[in-house]
Amino acid sequence: MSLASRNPCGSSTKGNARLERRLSVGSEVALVVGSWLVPGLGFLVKRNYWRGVAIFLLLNGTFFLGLLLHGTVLVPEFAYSSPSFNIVSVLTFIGQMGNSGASLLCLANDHWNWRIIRPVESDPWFDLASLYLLVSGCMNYFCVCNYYDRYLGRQEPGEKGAKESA
Amino acid sequence: MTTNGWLHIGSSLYLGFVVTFLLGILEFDQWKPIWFSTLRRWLKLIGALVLIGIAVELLSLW
Repeated sequence: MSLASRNPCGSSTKGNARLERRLSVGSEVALVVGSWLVPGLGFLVKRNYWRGVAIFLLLNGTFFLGLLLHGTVLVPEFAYSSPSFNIVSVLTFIGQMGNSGASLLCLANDHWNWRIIRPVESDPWFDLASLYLLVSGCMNYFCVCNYYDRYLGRQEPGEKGAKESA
Repeated sequence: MTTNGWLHIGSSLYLGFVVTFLLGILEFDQWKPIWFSTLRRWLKLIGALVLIGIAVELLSLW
C-alpha cells in the first residue's frame, strides 16, 4: 500500500511540497549570494540574459577601470580605539565589497602576494580608482536587491492567502 | 587643464552614466525607456554637478 493511499488527507503530498519549497528557497538564497559574488548571475540563471550580461559588463568593467587606475580594495582598521581608525575607510570598504567576487580577488592578491593586481597607494589616481571600485560595489547592492524584489520578494496571491488563512 | 583634471571630469561623466544606466536597466524591461530615463537622469545629475561647481568657483572668488 502506498503512502498516499494510506493517508487520504494527502500529508505526504504536503510534505513533498514543503520539501520542494525548502529546496527552492535554498537555491534562491544561493542565487542571491551568487549575485553578490558575480554581478548579474541571478538574472542570467533566471534566463534574463540581456539584463544579466549588461549588469556584469557594466559593473565588472567599472571595477576593471578602477584596477587600471592602480586602485585596489584595502582592509581598513576596524578597532575604533586605534588612532588609524577612519569611518570613511570602513564605509568605503563595505561599499566596495558589494562587488564581492572581484573585491575578494583583490584581497587574495594582497594577502598571498600574487602580483596579478599592482596597486600604487601613493599614486595621485588611487582615490579616483577607489571611487570606481566603490561605484561598482554599491551598484551591485542595488542589483542584488532588485533581483530579490523581482524573484523572491513578491509572493503569489494564492500563497499569500494560504499563509494568512494558516 | 592637466591630465588629472580631464581624468576627473571624464570619470564623473562616465560614473554618472554607469549609475543612471544601471538604474534604468533595473527599472524598465525595454531599451527605449531605459535610454530615455538614462538620458534624463544623466542630464539632471551633470546639471546639478555643474551648478555645484559654479557655486564652489564663485565662493572661492569671494
